[in-house]
Amino acid sequence: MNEYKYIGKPVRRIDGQAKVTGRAVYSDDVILPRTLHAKVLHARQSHAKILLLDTEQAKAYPGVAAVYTAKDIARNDKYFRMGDTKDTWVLAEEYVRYIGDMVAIVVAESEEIAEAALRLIKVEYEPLPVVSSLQQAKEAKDLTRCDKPGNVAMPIVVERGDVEKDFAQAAVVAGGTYTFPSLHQVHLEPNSATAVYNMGKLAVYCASQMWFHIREDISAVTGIAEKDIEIKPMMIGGAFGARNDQPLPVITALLAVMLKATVKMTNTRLEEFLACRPALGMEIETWIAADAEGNFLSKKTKLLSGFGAYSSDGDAVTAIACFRGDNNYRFRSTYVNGTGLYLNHAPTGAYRGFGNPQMHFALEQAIDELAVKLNMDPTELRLKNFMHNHETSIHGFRYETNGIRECMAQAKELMGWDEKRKNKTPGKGIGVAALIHCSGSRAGKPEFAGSSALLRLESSGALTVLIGESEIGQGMNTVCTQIVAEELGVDPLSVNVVMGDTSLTPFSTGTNGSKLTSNLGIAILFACKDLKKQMSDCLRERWGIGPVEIKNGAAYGEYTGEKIMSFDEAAVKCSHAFNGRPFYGVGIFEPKTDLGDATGYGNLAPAYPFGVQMAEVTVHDNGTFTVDKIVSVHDIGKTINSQMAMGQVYGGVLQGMAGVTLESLAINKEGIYQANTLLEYKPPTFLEMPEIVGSFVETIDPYGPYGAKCIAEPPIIAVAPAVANALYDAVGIRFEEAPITPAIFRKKLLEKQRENQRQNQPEKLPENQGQQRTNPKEAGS
Amino acid sequence: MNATMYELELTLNGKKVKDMIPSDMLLIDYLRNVRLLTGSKKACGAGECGACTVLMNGRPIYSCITLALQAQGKEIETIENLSDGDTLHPIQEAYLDAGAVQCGYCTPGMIMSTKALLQKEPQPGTQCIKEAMAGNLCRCTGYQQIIEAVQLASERMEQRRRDS
Repeated sequence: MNEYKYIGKPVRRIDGQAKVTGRAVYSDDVILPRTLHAKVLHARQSHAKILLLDTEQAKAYPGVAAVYTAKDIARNDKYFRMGDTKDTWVLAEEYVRYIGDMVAIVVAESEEIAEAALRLIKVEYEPLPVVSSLQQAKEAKDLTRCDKPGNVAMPIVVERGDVEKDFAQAAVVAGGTYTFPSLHQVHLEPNSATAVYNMGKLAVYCASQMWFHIREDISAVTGIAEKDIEIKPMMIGGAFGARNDQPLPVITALLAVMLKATVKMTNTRLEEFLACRPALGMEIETWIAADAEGNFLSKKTKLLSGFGAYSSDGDAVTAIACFRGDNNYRFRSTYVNGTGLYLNHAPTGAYRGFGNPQMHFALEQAIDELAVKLNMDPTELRLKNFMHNHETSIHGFRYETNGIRECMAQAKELMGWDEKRKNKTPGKGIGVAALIHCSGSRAGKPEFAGSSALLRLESSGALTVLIGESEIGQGMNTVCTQIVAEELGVDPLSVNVVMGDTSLTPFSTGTNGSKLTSNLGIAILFACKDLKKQMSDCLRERWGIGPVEIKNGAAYGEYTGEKIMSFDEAAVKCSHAFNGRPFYGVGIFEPKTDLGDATGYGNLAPAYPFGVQMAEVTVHDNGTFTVDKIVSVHDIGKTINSQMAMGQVYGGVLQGMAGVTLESLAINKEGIYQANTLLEYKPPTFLEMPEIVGSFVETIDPYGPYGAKCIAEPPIIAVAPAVANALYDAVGIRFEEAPITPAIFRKKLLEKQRENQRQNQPEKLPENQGQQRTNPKEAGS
Repeated sequence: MNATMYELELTLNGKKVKDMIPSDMLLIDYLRNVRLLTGSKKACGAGECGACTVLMNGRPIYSCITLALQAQGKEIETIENLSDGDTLHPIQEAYLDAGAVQCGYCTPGMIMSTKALLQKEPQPGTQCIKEAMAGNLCRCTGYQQIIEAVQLASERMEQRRRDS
């Protein structure tokens, strides 16, 4: 095995000093002269016809620069690129379709004036029926939007193999209907943007996961050519998918153009909840058929997903939910019928895992149920059916490396699985769930699958990586410096990284699909090799030195192995040989992957990360439960930064746990988010932390840099089913609906007790429920 | 809009300052917009997330639900006061060494809460850290490495006290 100097080590974050001193500049920290401030009037109703919209009083308010409604916006219908359905508007025209739909915008000398003027806008609505649940949308008695009959945003129906035949042959069938709510990403930094218009050119200071696509959006809505728009990347206070599709920077840019001015807009936390793009809630009915030995035969799934009132990333998320989970196991056949439905709430999109956590919540509980029916250890049942190295899955994924078995072995060890299953402690339960994801799925992106990177060398010896992706807290900028440091032997802290300044960097499809380390990392590695070759060639051809090899921060004679000059000296010689030009190492990675055929079949990613997650829960005498411990073991390929990789595991696991036990937007029948503050939505605090034990399996993938795959999304994916399975193990109740809040848990527990009492099983409950354990074989029936 | 203007006088990061401000101005807005100390963040505006945490006479407060005039005559310390631009405070060093920073938006508030905690309780146990810091939300780290950072800072500051 290779010995690396920087790869795999806990190298400090390069943006860390700026962040711990408060010097890091985030979007809302941008303060420019002569700035106007904008505020949006959001709909007060989830579905209504606008009868009257009167902005006269607001316009007359002192200090107001402009008040705009849909009719003022020339390209109001050019919104948005996201989704294939192109059915969104900048501002609401005839109808409002969710609380948060944008009705009017005030631009004023200060935020306070804009807020005061907003209150002077008169709107009269004619209320229309509100479609707030998937079942209601499916029945289609009421319409979310009058222009979308049936409420259907997208259908997917795919069958591979002969599902009916396999189900007919099955010895055991298990499954059910599992529902997963719409969750919010809750990145801590609210959206903010400042746009500067001057003489036909536009600069926008903002945060994004997709700098080039937000530029495309801005171009579409403003009519300004992309080459005249510069996106200035600010430090980003978290993203988790939410910054794939952000109305705020686009609208801010539009206002700057309309007013020929500098305009700033910052969301409040309430606006973050109401007017952004939370995750898709899903209802998934899934059944798995197996033979008597527990070999999986087939899987049948009906899935409903909630798009919200307009399309955002809903179609891609739904497609991934429909297919991805199947690929972890050997199925002979599979059928999926997925329907995306319009609902009168905020348009939904990407959240860490991109539909995969929703499907894993269903699939991994169904497998658990199957294990109960077969009276098998659920880890054994999974091990029996996992895919192997070099196999191709039912949807066309091809695995060069697959460390799922090693993940399972490590997870069992770290949880003490066998021991805990043998000697069960009353009131405690353990659960397991496995996961698969992609390192850089194309996720429906038609442009290209890969990434490219530039590495600039100046005459001073300064090295700058130029890439079009984003630093969203995951630490990619530090990974860049580690790769450059490893290849050239320079100090990682001396390497500069520019991420996303659209006037300087290569085009990028965005920061998503856990693709940066694997796809972009290899492009950076190639850029390093290219730069070294260019330097070596220049020294030989122009200076008669060498051949040399650039390593350890110096130029060495290729044959003698002796140091000839320092890296900085070589940089001066190279630059001066060409009249001062910088040298650009160019790296391009073009993975051999498919976009997928019409049925979604194809090898979507260059590599696939696997993982096993286990949860241990305690049920207390008062009818509540706690998640005590979560074990999270990941096939990461090769760890690039051990400390940051573990940070991804801790963060993802806690997000996953909170998503199944605490968080909910609590959307009511009127389409109103009852949890629209951080207090009510309940992101976890220090006090809700379980013990998290993370570990890695290094399979050394042939594609990624140094064998790396990815770690960003996987830790969130299978936490929810692991917790649900552990609760089943503890109390014999299948929690098919998330979130499993204390109230729901207690309700189900009492129902179970009453049922037990009816069956004349004398159990001393509720005082003693934590001590009771049911026979799992009976409990599932 | 016509709030009365008042004179606010306080000690801000060790220096006496004086400003005319409207009576309804929040401390976070005073710090960020008047004094241009943008290290403290306004992330919820409701005292729920702690990204705006600053110290008032050494005690951690949510500056987003505190009126600027409540700081009258008091000492306010913000994240900008912890480093001189060349060296970092041991708490800042510990956050970097422990990997306690990801997106960094909660970090200034976290560090100020840590400073207040370690002033009051120089060697806190894990449960003590969790309870003292429960008013600061972080969405990235899962908190584990922040706890490790607080412990590391505590050890180093203790060592420094013993050495001096």
